[in-house]
Amino acid sequence: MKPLKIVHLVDDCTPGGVMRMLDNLLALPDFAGRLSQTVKPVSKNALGADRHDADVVVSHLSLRWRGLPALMTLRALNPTVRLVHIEHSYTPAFSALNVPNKRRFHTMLRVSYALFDRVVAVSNEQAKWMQARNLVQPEALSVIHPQVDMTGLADIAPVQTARPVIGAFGRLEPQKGFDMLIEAFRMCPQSDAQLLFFGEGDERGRLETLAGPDPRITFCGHTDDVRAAYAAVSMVAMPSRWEAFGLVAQEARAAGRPVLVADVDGLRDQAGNGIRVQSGRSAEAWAAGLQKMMTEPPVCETGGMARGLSEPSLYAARWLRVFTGSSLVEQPLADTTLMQAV
Amino acid sequence: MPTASIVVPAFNSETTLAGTLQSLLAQSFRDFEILVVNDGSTDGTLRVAEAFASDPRLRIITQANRGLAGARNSGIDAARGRYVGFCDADDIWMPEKLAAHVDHLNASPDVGLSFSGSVLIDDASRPTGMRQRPRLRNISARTILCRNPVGNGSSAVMRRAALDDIAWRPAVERRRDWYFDETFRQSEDIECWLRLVLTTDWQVEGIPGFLTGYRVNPNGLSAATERQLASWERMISKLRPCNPGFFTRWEGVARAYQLRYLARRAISALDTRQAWPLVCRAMASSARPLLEEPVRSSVTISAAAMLHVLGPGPLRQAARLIAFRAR
Repeated sequence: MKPLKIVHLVDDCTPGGVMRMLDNLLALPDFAGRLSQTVKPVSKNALGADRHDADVVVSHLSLRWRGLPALMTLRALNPTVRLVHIEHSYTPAFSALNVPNKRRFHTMLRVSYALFDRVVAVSNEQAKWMQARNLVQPEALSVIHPQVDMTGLADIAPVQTARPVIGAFGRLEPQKGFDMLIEAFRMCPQSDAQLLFFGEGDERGRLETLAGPDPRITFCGHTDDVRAAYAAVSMVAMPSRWEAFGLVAQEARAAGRPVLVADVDGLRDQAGNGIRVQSGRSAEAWAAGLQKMMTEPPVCETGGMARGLSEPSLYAARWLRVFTGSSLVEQPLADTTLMQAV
Repeated sequence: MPTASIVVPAFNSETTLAGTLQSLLAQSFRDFEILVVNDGSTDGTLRVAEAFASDPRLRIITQANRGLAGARNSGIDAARGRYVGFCDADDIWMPEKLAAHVDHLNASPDVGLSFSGSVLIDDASRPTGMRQRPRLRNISARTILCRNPVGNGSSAVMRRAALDDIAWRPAVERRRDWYFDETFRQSEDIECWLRLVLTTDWQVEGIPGFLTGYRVNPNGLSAATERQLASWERMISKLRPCNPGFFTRWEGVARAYQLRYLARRAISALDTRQAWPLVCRAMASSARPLLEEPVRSSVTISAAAMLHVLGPGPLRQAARLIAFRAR
């Protein structure tokens, strides 16, 4: 059988969740011989409005009103191509915080999603939102939790010291909620505790001001050695204001580090097995949550599958169904790989 | 399952509860349940509620006093309706209120909170002639923070799904979730509405009409001014981490509106001591209310200035004249 030709359209090639997920997808061994995948970087508003020599075009794009004409052109020029969109950007909490005119925004999403044969949500919470707001036809919606290459994380040595070292991973941007984390951490009296930031961003100056003279807080900058970073911490905090999925939680779980996550969007999907959800967004609530993490961290089972990595072949099979449009296998709405009792 | 649940928090409201329940049982839309939450009353509130218990649509929940937010939360917890409305035990609903909100919520799947304007009523449940006439559409977080269009605690009818999206279980709570924050004794309404728009993408929208009778209590207002301001500030501090950029931009303006509101209440109470300083603080916080609502703001400033310079005499006289003309 001839391999299925897949073109991935990407409008943001900066290193981050989207590119790492894509790199992983391109390298999945299950796809060898069955898919021939290429990545096509496109500009923000042209959105790859071309005729594509492909069976499937996969959009990893940020949808917007200004991109809509290009999207319609893409659909018109490729009438027989299967169009798939993966929603990496928008979530209910994103909409709550960033969209002044929700009706207009929902309309843009409805019109855009309608141009695709299938829309893939990256978390159950995101999918629930899409359904509750009627953004997508239910039969056109799938949920797949993204995966990235986590080799090297699973054999990190277990937490050694009793000294709590909290790691915060991600770009230093308002989305990540690190401002509140610093405030909360500074309320914790534990003088031997540490808070390490791994990442860079525009907020750095402001965060450093917030950290003030507290010697327990360190900004380590961006690191390519993710393994060393996880090895250096005993737990991870994700106080994000919105998060389509939140791969850091999966990485931390793979590294055997307990995680405290905000009660928001895709982070809710991941509760259980070492990942604890912190309700409330105040610094006080988080200070209490951090201290509880230090004294009684959630149990994080170690080793292989128990570390939360879902079966790669199952993951590949989900994508194959999305790419081929095969309805031979009943596709459940929820990605149950991670679903656990909270 | 009834379509709607109406939660009636009642604390020592034996004199007004009967009027409230009559107005609810007289709703033109019939498919609802009423949950009276007797919040540790020490008067005859329970007896009044029990007199209505022959109506199968009414349930009574009795609990030790937890405050308004705690009473509402217990009511929400017991509510079975797809929509949940609130009516405090001293307010009344106009007969067509529930029908109008049910229609609105049915027709607008993006709306999580539906509200309407209110008429202010006095001790004897007579309209005072004053109304709350809020903006009804294009309600953003900014609108809620600065102008609270929902207006009072008996105006909102919410979608159950929206309530579920803002529910949380604080560490101290064992029995049920919180929707309203029970640590607040004032500003609990606006804290809840603002949290709804800051943390979920449910919309808040009003419908035309003055469908709530909101009872104003003219006594002891100005004494509570500082306390009220303090709880408003606590609400701001609590919600600021949700969206710091939003608060940086708007909290000064919102504070000005809040201070102007307190100044207006001080003026109606003819409080010569507080009105003028409140107006000054409002102006110092932001001049935007003067630009956005020039008439209302200037009237407030002039009245406070007059009260400050001339004392309560002229205003009292004016009020008497207005009352005479209205008769």
